[in-house]
Amino acid sequence: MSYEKLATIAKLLYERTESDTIKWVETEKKDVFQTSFPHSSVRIEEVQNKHNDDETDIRITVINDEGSVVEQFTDEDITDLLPKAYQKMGLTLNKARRSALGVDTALDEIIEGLTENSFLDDDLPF
Amino acid sequence: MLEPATELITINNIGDYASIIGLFITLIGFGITIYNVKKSRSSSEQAKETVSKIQNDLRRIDTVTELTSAINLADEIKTLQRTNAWALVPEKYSKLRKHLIEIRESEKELEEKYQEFIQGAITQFSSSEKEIDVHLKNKTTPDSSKLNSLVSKHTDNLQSVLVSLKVEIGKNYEL
Repeated sequence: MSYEKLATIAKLLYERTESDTIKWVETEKKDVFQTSFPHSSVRIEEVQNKHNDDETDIRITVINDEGSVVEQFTDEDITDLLPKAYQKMGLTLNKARRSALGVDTALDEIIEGLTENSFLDDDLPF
Repeated sequence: MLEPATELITINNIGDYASIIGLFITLIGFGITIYNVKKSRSSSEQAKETVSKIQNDLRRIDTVTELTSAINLADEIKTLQRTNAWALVPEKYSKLRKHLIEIRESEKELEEKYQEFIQGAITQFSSSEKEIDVHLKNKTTPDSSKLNSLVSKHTDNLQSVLVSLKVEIGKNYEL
């Protein structure tokens, strides 16, 4: 297994998710999110740590062009190659969730709607 | 009998003039030939291009038919899931996934965004198939509304691929 490549994938996913240049979608499993490229897909989720029940890891699964799982790794596997791997992958998961569920779109719409009607405040007698 | 004529030609250098005129006629002939060859070559290139466009369109028509079948199959899956006919569903997902793999392979020039839509659907349908298999094995019931919502989302994406393919058919012909 090439951990260097896996670390690069985790790093690029983090950067592209942060810059909103990849689209995450929901899957059949709660809190597992997926993004696709022309011939492969990636899923991200939080899993229990293998050695400590009180701790969690962030796991990335790589899926090939036929929909089969070809690789799976957690932040623990690449911690020596990617500084702050857990935090970065955790932020990726968090942002993937917000993107897939449309949280930011909904919040932006509400803020826009409230801002448009804020002139009403001036007319209120209290 | 021809002697006076020969004498006339020789005295007046008519032979030289005839050679020069002959040369001009030959050069004009060459020019016309080269022009015609070029013209026929560009016609044959145009014909080749048109044939290639027609072949692309025929392939696209096939893909449109395949994709329409895939979308119909996805609708069938939704009905089966809604009516809890779970035992029939994994096979349908598998068939749908194969359809989509074929479509992607036959349309290699598809825009990246649309290839990602197809790959996303392949991944999701493969996972849904496995998920239902596990439920069948454990004799539990899958969440039909969640699975149907995913089928709908991916079908919407496939629908946009279908529209883009239809738009491309017959687009680059000069009338």
